[in-house]
Amino acid sequence: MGILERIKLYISITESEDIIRRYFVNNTFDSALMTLGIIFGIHTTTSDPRIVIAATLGATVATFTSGMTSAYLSEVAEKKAQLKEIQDAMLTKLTKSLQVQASKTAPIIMAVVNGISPVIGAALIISPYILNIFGIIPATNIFIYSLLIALSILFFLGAFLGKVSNENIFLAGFRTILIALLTMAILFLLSYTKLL
Amino acid sequence: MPQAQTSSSLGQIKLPSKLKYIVLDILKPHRPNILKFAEELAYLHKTYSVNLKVIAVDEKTESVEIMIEGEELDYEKIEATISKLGGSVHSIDEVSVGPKIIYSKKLR
Repeated sequence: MGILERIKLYISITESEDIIRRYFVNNTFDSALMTLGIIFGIHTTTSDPRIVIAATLGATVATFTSGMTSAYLSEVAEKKAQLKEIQDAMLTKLTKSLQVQASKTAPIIMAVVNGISPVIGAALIISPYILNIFGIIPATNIFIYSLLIALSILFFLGAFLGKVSNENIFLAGFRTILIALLTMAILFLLSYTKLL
Repeated sequence: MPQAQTSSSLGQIKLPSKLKYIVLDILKPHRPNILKFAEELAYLHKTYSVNLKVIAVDEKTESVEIMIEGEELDYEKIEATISKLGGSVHSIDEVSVGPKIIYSKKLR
């Protein structure tokens, strides 16, 4: 059995499909809006790409560490309880069974998804700034490119949720874009208060 | 000259060789489902034909009747596979040994 098949089996045995999907969407959504806030906030004061990258990197490392550890600790506890319930119902210890392996492996898979998804979102959004640092693209419009990438990620997440709930994926995608626009409007108003 | 068959001994299940058909009653968690059980059991040997039927569903578990037919069934491997998938054998309900499978009346 290949690694991917085994991962799928462990996820299925521990009934973690929904939780993993939620972790992925929630964290990518959080990181997309967080990065949008960082680049928007910094854009009002400076156009130095290194500051955007440093601020995003700091926030992303913190989100990654927090995402990995919090998901792992909480899921280990959940899966232990789930395994105990099954063992109690079966009136036997399921030693060396797939259930035991799955209950140990699933929290690791979930922690990785919870930790990595915000990193991917943030990395994609600040990629124009990174490309600019390496001299691959000019500094003009990198802010706009990042905004467009952030909006695209949010649209994709909304569309993905729309697909899950059998809704119109375009409407669902535009709904998340509206949330991003609302965030940007708040940041824009805040910029007038001289707080940004 | 007929081939000698392994005798059974008290304290451990030691079924005769040339076991061709067996019906087991097992208890298993809902996941993996019976498709996975069937797949893994059939994978044990190319001559194995497997039939699984859910006979009762509880909140956390389900009782399943497993019928396996093959040229020479390896009970220990079958039981180990069931255990690996999280199931436990409650009872061996029917076996058929010898050149011809004799099914119970219910199945005929």
